[in-house]
Amino acid sequence: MHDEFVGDDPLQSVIAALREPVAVEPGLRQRAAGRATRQRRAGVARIAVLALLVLSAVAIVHRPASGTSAVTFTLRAPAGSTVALVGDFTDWRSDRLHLSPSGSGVWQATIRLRPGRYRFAYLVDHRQWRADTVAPTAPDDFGRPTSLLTVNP
Amino acid sequence: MNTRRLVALSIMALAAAPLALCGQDARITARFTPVVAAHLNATIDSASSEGLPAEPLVLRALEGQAKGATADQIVAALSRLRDALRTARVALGSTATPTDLMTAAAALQLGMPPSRLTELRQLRGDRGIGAPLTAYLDLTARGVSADRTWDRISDLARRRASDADFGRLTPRDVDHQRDEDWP
Repeated sequence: MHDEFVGDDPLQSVIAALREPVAVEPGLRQRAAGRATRQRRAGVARIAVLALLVLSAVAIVHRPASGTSAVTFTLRAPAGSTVALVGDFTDWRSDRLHLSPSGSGVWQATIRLRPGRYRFAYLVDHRQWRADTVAPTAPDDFGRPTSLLTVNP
Repeated sequence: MNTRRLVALSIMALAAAPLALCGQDARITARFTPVVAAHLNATIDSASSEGLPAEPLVLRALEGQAKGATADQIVAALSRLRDALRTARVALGSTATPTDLMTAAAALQLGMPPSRLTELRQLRGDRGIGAPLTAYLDLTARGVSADRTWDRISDLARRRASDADFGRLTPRDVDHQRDEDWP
C-alpha cells in the first residue's frame, strides 16, 4: 500500500498518511447515526414544547375575554356614601363589587359576565336594598327588591 | 366495648368524615351557623341526589342570608325552589340541562303551568327552550300579561323562530300581536 508515495518528501508523507483509510470501530457508525437521530428527535420535541407553551399562553391571555360580555350597572343614589353590587355573581357578598361615583349622584360599575341569568340588587350604605330601575324585577322570597339580568351568548 | 372495637369504630368514623364533608357547600358552611348550615346542606344534598342542580339552591340561600332573612324563611325558599326544579324536570324530561331546569323553575315560580313547559319543549325540539323561556321571564317581569306573552312565545316557537328572534321580543311586540289578533 502507498506505493505511489515513495520517497522522503514530507508533504507526500502527510498526504499519504491522510489518504490512509482509518480503521473504524465496529458499531461506531450505528452509534453515531443513532445519536444524530436522538438529537433530531430532541430538537423536534423542544420545538413542540415551545409551540405548546406559546399557544397555551395565548389561550390564557384570551380566556378571560372570550365568552364574557361587559355589563354596566348604573344607579342614581345622590344621598349614598357607598353602593355595593350584590348578586349571584358575587355569591351575594356585599364586599366584592362596589359602584364608583360618576357625578350628579350617579354610581356605575362595569364587569364582565358569562352568558346566563342573574339575580342581583344594590346595597346603598350597607343597609338600603335597591332594585335596578331598568332591569326586570324578580319575584323575591325575602321581601327585598331584586332585579334580573340576562346575558346572552 | 373493648379497646380494639373502640379503635376500629374511631377509624371508621375518621374515614367517613371526608365523605360527609363532600356534600357540604363551603359557602353555606361559612355563612350560616352549623345547625342552619346542616339543614340547608341536607336540602341541597337531597336535591343533588335526585339529579337536580345544586347551584341555584346555594345561591338562593346566600341571597337570603345577605338580605337578613330568618333561617325559616331561607329553608322555606329553598324548599319552594327545589319543588319547582322537580316539577320542571318532570315537565321537560330527564334529558333537560341544568340551565333549562333553572330557567323553567323560574317560570314555574312565576305561575307558568307545567303543561306549557312540556308544550314548549315539544314545539322547540332540539333547539332548546332557553331563549323562549328567558324571553317569557323578561317580558312578564316587565309587567306584560303572562297569557299574552305565552301566546306570542308559543306562536313564534310554532313558526320555528330562532333564538335571536326571541331575544328581540319587546313588550310592544306582544301588544302589537294582540292588536293584530283583534280585528
